[in-house]
Amino acid sequence: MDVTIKNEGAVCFVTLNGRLDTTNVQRFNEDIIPVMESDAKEIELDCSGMSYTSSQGLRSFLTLQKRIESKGGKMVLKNMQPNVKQVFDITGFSNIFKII
Amino acid sequence: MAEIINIVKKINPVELIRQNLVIRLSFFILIIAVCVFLLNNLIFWTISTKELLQSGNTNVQQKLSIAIAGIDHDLHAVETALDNVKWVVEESLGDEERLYDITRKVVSENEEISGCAIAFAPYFHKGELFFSPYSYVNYRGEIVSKQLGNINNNYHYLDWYQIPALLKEPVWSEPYFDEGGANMLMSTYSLPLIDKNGNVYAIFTADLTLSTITELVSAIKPYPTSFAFLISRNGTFVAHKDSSYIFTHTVFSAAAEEKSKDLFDVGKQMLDGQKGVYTNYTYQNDDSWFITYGPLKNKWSLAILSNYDDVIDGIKHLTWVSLAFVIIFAIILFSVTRRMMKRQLKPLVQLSDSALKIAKGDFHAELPEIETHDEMSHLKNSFEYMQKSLVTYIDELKRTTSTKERIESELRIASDIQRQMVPSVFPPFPERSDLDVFAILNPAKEVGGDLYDYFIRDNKFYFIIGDVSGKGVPAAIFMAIARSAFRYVASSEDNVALMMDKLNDSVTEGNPTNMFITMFIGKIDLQTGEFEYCNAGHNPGVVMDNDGKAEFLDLKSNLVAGVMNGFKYSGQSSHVGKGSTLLFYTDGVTEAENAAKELYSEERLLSFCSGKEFAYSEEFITSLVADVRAFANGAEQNDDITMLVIKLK
Repeated sequence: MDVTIKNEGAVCFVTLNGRLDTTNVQRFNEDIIPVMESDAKEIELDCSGMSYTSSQGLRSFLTLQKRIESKGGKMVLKNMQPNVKQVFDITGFSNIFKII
Repeated sequence: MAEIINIVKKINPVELIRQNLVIRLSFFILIIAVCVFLLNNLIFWTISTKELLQSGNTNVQQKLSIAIAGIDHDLHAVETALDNVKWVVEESLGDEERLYDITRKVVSENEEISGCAIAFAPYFHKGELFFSPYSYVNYRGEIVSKQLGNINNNYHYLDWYQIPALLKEPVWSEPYFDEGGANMLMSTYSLPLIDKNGNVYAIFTADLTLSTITELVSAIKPYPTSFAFLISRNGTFVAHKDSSYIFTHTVFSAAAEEKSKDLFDVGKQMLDGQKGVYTNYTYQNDDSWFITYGPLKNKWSLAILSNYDDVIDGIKHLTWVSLAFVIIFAIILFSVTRRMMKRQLKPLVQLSDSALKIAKGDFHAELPEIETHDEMSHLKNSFEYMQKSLVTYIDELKRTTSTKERIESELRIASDIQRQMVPSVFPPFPERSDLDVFAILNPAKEVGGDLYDYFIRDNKFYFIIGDVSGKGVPAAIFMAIARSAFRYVASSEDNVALMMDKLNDSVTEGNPTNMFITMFIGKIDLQTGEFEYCNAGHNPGVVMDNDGKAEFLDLKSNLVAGVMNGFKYSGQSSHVGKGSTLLFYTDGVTEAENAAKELYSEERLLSFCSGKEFAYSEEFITSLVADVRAFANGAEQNDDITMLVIKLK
């Protein structure tokens, strides 16, 4: 899973590429620490390149969102692939994340 | 020495030098030392030879001078003897008795004179043609006197009379063999006696036996192979090592006989009365000779032949001694350096032994004591450090291993406990013929985050299946919490949606790590077939009817449990008839991967279930597990796999 972080003013753009599974979720958690610590009020996650996520990946998104919301920020997930969107739908995460 | 020979005998020396550091170093030192010694010897030999040759020349010249002086002395004695009595002859002219007396006296008073004559000129003595009183020592040693001249022995024409008479000066004759008198090699000194008018009236002679001189010449031996020869004024050999040359050969006839140009050249210079050294003289095909020569008083010439080899013989001897010394020195040097190095390198061998011991597991192997403060002690210190590090490392490893073993053992226990937390006795309801339930739970690790549970109350079958996000111990603990909460909540609640609400609230509390659990709770009325259920983000189960038709259960997703406190779950209901089978599972099934990272997928699961015929739910699960395994084709199972099959009969 490749994570690219770009800060543009108050918005932090994060691009995700690849699979997010058991083998790399730990690294993903470390990779997104700068996003968690950023002062940006808006976080945009571009998921167009993300082909798979495991339940632990969902947990990482949940943790990220909780952290950002605790600082008064907002997080948006964009361009999700259908199979990934399906996972979000089944688990009900579609209801607690803003997916556009 | 014997040690060295043994070593050489046992092993190929080249191999030995290559493989043995001590021998190699000793050998190099030996080669350098021997080279230095040989060079030193060569320089010494060159310089010494030059010096010796020079001093050899001087030595021979001195010997020559001494010999010449000796011979000259003898000749001089004869000359003096006649000179001293010359006046007596003058005064005794005419007195035969006295003249005889004079000759006898000369012979008796001079040991080296074997004969003495006063040969008068024709008609000088009393008008006689011949008168020559003569005394000589006969073979008995007695002095005999006689008158020499007569018609048969006309001495006036003999050389010893004629030459000095004509030259009017004393002359030494050529050597001659005196057959009549002493039978010896002689030379005669002839002194002309001259009157007031300048006429020679007599020749006063003394015969000198040459044996003394030849003895003196043959005694000249500055070097063992040296020899001397004496030649007369005409070049006739007077003394020579080869006695057949004496009196019969001149230096030139000998040169012709020997075909020696060197001897011819030397002979010319000698006859010329010169003094000198002729080097590189060839004698008997050996050109390492040299001739030192010089003239005598009587114009004879003495020569000494010497060989350069003799001159440098001493140094040759010294060279051999020195070479022998080099060999002895080399042997001593080799064995001493070898022994010394062996001693110096002993710690290396010991360290190597210690290393071997350490390699075999003896980490406390003793290291050699090193008293020096050199590279060897540095090596030992490094070695010691390595040993200590190894000990520390191994201790650490042991500790880690024992910790790991402890954890593994605890995990095994935890695994057993976790297995006991889900129903594991099959069939669970042996008394009921209308219900066939079977389930499996295969954690990817020792413990996992999947769970299932079921029970029957009021003829209603309640069941739950769930999957905690993540795996391992954290998931297992969360699973235990969820399972206990389910038992607690289900004991007092009939409504599945309310059950889920309460369950969600209880697991959401105190969940700082944002773990969550997907769950499905179901309730089947075994009488009517009414099926109520509530889903919290779990995978949809599969419903298979009597005709073999399989489809996913229609599900509201709601939200996974543990995320949001107070979330209101909504329940759903359906109907399942006799002969229907329900399959519930966790995503370890649909997301089982093969080596190509392909997922088993819901589509494959549905097609597996379609038209599947089986008598017991256990049989179904066994074949599904086999199918998933076949799909994974050896790829590692990385998520917990749980299946729950409910068959209504």
